[in-house]
Parts: sequence; structure tokens; C-alpha cells
Amino acid sequence: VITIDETDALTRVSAGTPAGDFMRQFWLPFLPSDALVAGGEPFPVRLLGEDLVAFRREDGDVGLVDSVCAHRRAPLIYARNEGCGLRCVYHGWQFDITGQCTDMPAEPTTSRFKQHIRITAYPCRERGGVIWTYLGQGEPPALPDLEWNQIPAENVHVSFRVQEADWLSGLEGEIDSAHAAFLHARLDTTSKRSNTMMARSGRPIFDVLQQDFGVSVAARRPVGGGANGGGANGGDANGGDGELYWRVNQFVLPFYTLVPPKSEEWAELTGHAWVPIDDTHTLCVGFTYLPDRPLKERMARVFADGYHGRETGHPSSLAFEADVPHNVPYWRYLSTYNRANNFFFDYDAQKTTYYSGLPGLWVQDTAVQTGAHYAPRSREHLTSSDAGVVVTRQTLRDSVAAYREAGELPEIARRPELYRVRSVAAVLKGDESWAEALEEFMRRPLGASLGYQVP
Amino acid sequence: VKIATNREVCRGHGQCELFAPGVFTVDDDALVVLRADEIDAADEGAVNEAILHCPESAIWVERS
Repeated sequence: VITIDETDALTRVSAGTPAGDFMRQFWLPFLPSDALVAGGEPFPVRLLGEDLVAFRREDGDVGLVDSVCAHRRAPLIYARNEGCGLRCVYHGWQFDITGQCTDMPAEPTTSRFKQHIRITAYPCRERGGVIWTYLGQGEPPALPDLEWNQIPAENVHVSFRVQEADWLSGLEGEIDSAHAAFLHARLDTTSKRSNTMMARSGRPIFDVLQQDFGVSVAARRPVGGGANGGGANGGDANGGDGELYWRVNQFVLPFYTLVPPKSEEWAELTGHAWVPIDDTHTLCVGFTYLPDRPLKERMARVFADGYHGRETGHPSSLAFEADVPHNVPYWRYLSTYNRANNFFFDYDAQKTTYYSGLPGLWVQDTAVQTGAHYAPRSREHLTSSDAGVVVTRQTLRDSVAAYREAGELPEIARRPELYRVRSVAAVLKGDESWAEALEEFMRRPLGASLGYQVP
Repeated sequence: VKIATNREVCRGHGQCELFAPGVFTVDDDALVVLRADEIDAADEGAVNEAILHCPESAIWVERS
């Protein structure tokens, strides 16, 4: 059992909060490499409730420092990006990427005051087109061994967008595969989505397993159990002699989700990092990849440009607000689909195109995760298909408490190889154990093929 | 006149050295160092300026 208050506490992430201090012990993916141009405009970032400025200095190194100058709090988003770092435009104070003040040109030459002045700065690393930072104290661990971040660029599509909801709401949406047959359903039967195994199978029954990396959320459905439209009309998955279709989504500490492939044609592995910006905003880092080969050119294009004006699993280039003032944290990643315009919900589309009336896959997710207005978790009623949500919350609560009370971190925080895990979809015999049968496909070497035929 | 300093509160602004370079300097730790404990009457004006301009009140005249 986990209480509403315990769950809500997981969404409060500022420094000094139990969940915030826990998150600070992990590397955070916080920008794509191409967001920062050498010598270019500093970019406002907020992570775990802390306002920061990211920049790439002229020699290519990335800095992530306090959002205001240590002198009289002038904004460093206005700073000149020159030489060793950022020079505040108020009085010319300069700070390098370690946060050390290196110049105070308005002070007398006898002054050595600058040696005493250092602003907050966090270490950054770049890998696979993503910039990572570590907000903890002391020496950071190695970067997590995440497959999507270590394969060739042409094998993966990565996107960044801001969601106006707490990070846990997003994460919970992606370990709950019961929603897909509804929220993402299409009414026009020509859609390929309508023909996936998931759409053709019956109501899911969940089996949840705590793992060294987090939690496996396995959903089984009777093969062919759904007459049409999947979960809405399908039978129960009570095993027996028939075959079962298993989908194993993974929750990986502290904020990753992994989703299995949908079909042999769409054999991509997908998922998100749900990086907390603050208590009510999340940086959704989406990834779709084939471990052993490039993504189809058409798929990469559809992700980047949308499909006939509609959104897909990733925000397209058309999905971002053009005129956001540059003092808004993550201004470049604020979407045109947001609460203020009701996510372009179209009731009439429910009769013709989308079960949800919401235009495109990621828009459907973000609309239900964000809500039309704020609604507290006290109004929830969890059910059997939320077993994965409950165990994930408990795992997080217990991990946060262990760190708070004893300074103990889960193994994965210091063993980056535990991040080498995949989600899996497979058809198994009714009496087979999914955990045993699928273990080898969950822990494949970096860049290896899936090793099985996607149903 | 005897001069006292407090390196605990000094932040290396260098005002003392600017006004009375014969009496004060700022070392490699960016903290004040006295060149001499006792000063000549001729330096008193400069020392008073230094004391006045120290933003941290890290230097003063010790009255015995």
C-alpha cells in the first residue's frame, strides 16, 4: 500500500526534498547537443526546481551554471558567451564552466575578490547527441549504460519537449499499457495500428516484478481474444492451454520507461526519460531506436516532420511554439499542443478518426497526463491494471526513503551496466513463465538484434 | 599606531592595498597581509582611507 501523501511527495523535487535529493544522485539528460551552439546564446534550464543557464563556449565545452550573476543577481541568460565562459552584461563579471569568477573588470587592479566568488556549476557530459548533467555532490558515477544513447545516430530518434505536469504522471502513463488500446485507438480501419497484435488481443492481466533496475510490468493478453477494437471487447487472459501475448514494459530507476515493439514491421524499441523540471513541469526525452540497424528513412522523417500535419510518437518540428520569450526555462521545447489551447481537442474527430479526438500519439498521452485542469491524486481510484503503477510508486518511495534515512542508494545508481535492459513483446505458451522465457531478450548486449520475432 | 586585520572576514577586495600599498598587500590566497604592524605618522591618512574603503571591515586601528 502506498498513500496519496507518499505518492505526492515523489513529485516534489526541489533541493532539500526527499525525492529531489534522491534524483540528484543520478545523471540527468537535459538537452540535445545541437541545442547549444559554440559561442551562441545561453539557454535557460530548470532542473529539479533549480534555475540554471546552459551554454557552449567557443572551444565547444558545455557549461551549466547558476541563472544569476553572483554580484547583484543580473540574469545570465543575457550574458556574453565569450572566452572561458559567460560574462555578465551588468558589470562584466566573467565566470568559467566550473563557476569560478575569472574577471571583475570594474574592480581596481589590486582586487583579488574574484578568487572568492564562485557560482553554482554542474558537470556536463555529452554522449550520443545528448547532454547530461549531475546535480549531486562529489564525484559523479559513470554515465548510465542506456542503449539508445550509445548506438549510431542513424539508429535512433531522440526528441525533447516540456509537459505541464509532474514527472510521475508521465512515467506512470508509459508503464500502463492498458491505455493504448483506448487512448491511441484509431477508428479508420486502414490504420496499421488497428492491426497490431495488441489491438487484436483481449483484456490485459498484469504481472509485476521488482528488478535490480526497477520494475518489470508485464501484461498478458489472450491471442486473438479481442473481436475488434482490442481491450474494449476482448476476453480475459486467464492462461490455460492457449497462447498468450506478453508485453513487458520496464520502469528503470529513477525516471526511465521502456516500451516494447508493436509489430515485426514496427520493431523499434521506445521509451522516455521523464526528467523533472520542477514540481509541475517535466522534460520528456523520448527515444525510438533499432539496436542493430538504422531507422527506416520514412519513419525518421515522419517523427521529425509529422504525418500529413498530424503528430506521431515524437513532437514534430511543427509542434513547437515559435514566439516563446527566451527567459522561459526550456523555451525552445514548449509545445503548441498545451493546456491553454486544450491540446487541439476535436470532439468531432472522435466520430471519424481518433478514439480520443486528440491529434496524434504523443498529444494524446500528454493531454491525459497533464489534465484539463489540476486534479489532485486524492481523486484517483486505482484498479487491477494499475498494478505496475502501484509497485513503481512503492519502489520509488522505498528507494527515496532508504537514501533519506541511511544514505543508501539502489544498486543501479552506482552500477551503470544495470541500465542495459530492454522491453520485450512475445507470444508464449499459456504455462510458460514470462520472466524466465524473456530474460535473455531483456538483457541483450549493446547493439545486438532483438533475438526474436516480434509478434 | 598599531594596525589589526581579520583574515577570516577579508575577501580580497584590494582596497587597502590600493590606498596604502606600503602598509597592506593581498596575498596569493586573496587575503590581506600587513607589511608592517606599526606605521609612521605620515601613512596615517592613507591607512584611514584604506579602513574607510574596506567593504568587509577587515582592518582597523588598534588602540592600546
